[in-house]
Amino acid sequence: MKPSTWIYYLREAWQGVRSGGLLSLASALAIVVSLAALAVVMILAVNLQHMTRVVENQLQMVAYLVEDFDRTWQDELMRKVKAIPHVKQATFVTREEGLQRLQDQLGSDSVLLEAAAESGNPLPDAVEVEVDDPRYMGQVAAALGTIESVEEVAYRRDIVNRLTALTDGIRNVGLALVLLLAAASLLTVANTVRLTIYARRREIAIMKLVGATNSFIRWPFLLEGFLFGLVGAGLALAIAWGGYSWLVVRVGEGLPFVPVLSPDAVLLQVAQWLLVGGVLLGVGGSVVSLRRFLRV
Amino acid sequence: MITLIGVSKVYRPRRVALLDVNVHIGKGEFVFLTGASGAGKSTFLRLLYREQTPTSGQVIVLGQDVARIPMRKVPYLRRQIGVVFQDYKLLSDKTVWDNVAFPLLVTEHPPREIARRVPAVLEQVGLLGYEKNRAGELSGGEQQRVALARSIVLNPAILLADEPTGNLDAGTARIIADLIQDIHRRGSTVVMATHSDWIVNRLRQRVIHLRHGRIVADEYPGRYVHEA
Ligand SMILES: Nc1ncnc2c1ncn2[C@@H]1O[C@H](COP(=O)(O)OP(=O)(O)O)[C@@H](O)[C@H]1O
Ligand SMILES: [Mg+2]
Repeated sequence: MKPSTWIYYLREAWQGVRSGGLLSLASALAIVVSLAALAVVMILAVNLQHMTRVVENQLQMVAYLVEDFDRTWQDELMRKVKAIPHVKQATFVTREEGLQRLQDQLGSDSVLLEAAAESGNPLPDAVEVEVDDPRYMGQVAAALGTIESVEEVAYRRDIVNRLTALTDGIRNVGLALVLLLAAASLLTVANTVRLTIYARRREIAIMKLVGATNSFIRWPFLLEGFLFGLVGAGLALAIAWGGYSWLVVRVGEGLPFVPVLSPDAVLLQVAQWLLVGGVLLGVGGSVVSLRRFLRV
Repeated sequence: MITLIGVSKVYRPRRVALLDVNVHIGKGEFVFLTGASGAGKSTFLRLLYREQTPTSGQVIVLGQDVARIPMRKVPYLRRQIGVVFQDYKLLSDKTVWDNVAFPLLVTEHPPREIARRVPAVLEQVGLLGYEKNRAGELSGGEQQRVALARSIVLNPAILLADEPTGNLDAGTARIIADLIQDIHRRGSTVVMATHSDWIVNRLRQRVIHLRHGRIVADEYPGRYVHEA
């Protein structure tokens, strides 16, 4: 196609956007809302996935011992633990050491510790175990459980499972919401383009009579939808970028141990999807209108 | 150039606009299509550039069966047929230049050719100097000239004019008729619907007369047939 033809298409498309007025604004905003929702869902999902992976890679587990554990059995116990395949390291942690650590973590004036000081140390003796490969966590945990005087084995598998479930849930509910919003914005764009078609019906009729091809007549309307999509995606990305950067800083200050991804890494990925989504919504809206209202 | 074989057109619910029309129009002819209002003149013309399709019969234009060509080829047929519409069909808030350039633009002619071609046809219809005027603010005769310029800007093989002098005073009507004759002399086949007896009688061309959708007279050179 000739550049002069493209210039014509763009001029006509822009004319369409302008003549749409408030409805054009509504179209762009509808796309922004849909895409912003998509961005939120994506950012959440990506971060949860990242968190899951971080937790999965922590190779520690703890075997809590029975309350009345007799420490004369300590060496025997440690030998059994270290004999389990894939155990890289094992450390005996007395209940006193456990309490001390908790105090260091929570600060000396914690209510919890005051309660503990009154009613006695609630912690049992324990063995901290480090595994050489995360794939064998389950196996090692099972082996630990069979050792006498081991009351309970805690490791991050439960947290991983819970995180995975949460990620799936957010993804499903989020995507349903995004689809709903997308359908709504598709209709908004379709309505706006329909209005442009209606405003131009005379011009379109004349175009047909003087020999314009159907594709020539359609292009400006497709471009109009494309412009809505592009503007919508741009705004949604700006909002996502600003919002997420702000959030990352807050989380960094308030909850430093929560592993969040840096904005650059996440948003580059999100940007691609927003762009694709915006263009699909915009052009899709045009197509809906063109099929229904432009019988050419 | 144009052949109609057994052509009938019935509009819904059952208004007969054309009935068993058989006619051949050769290359380079000038034909007047006459008849009272409602006789079927506009319908005849609309079948030729496929704004409508016949209820039965064949319409053959430039060697193609117009009703049978696929939709996507219709634009290419229309590029070879210039049409002056009864109601002008100008874009009234666009300039004279834009209106005349419109067919060139939508058929993707390069800007250089548009800049060459538009002034040429504006000169031919006597509208040089009006390029920047909005079409809507021109007089009826001037608008008809714009319509005429637009219809010939693609150098069509066939020019169809539907009552091009219908709404004009006698003097202006004569000028428009002369312009159409001039276009004919340059080689176009012309079919002009009219019910202006004096224009028909002055030009002494072939006259096809319609009554209630039938051809009741076809003579060359013909005179206007007055209804009883
Ligand atoms: N689109 C249409 N729908 C229904 N009837 C029509 C339509 N166009 C024309 N007619 C009818 O067909 C007949 C012929 O009309 P037309 O071809 O416009 O005649 P003319 O141009 O000679 O006045 C008239 O009775 C008219 O009312
Ligand atoms: Mg008519």
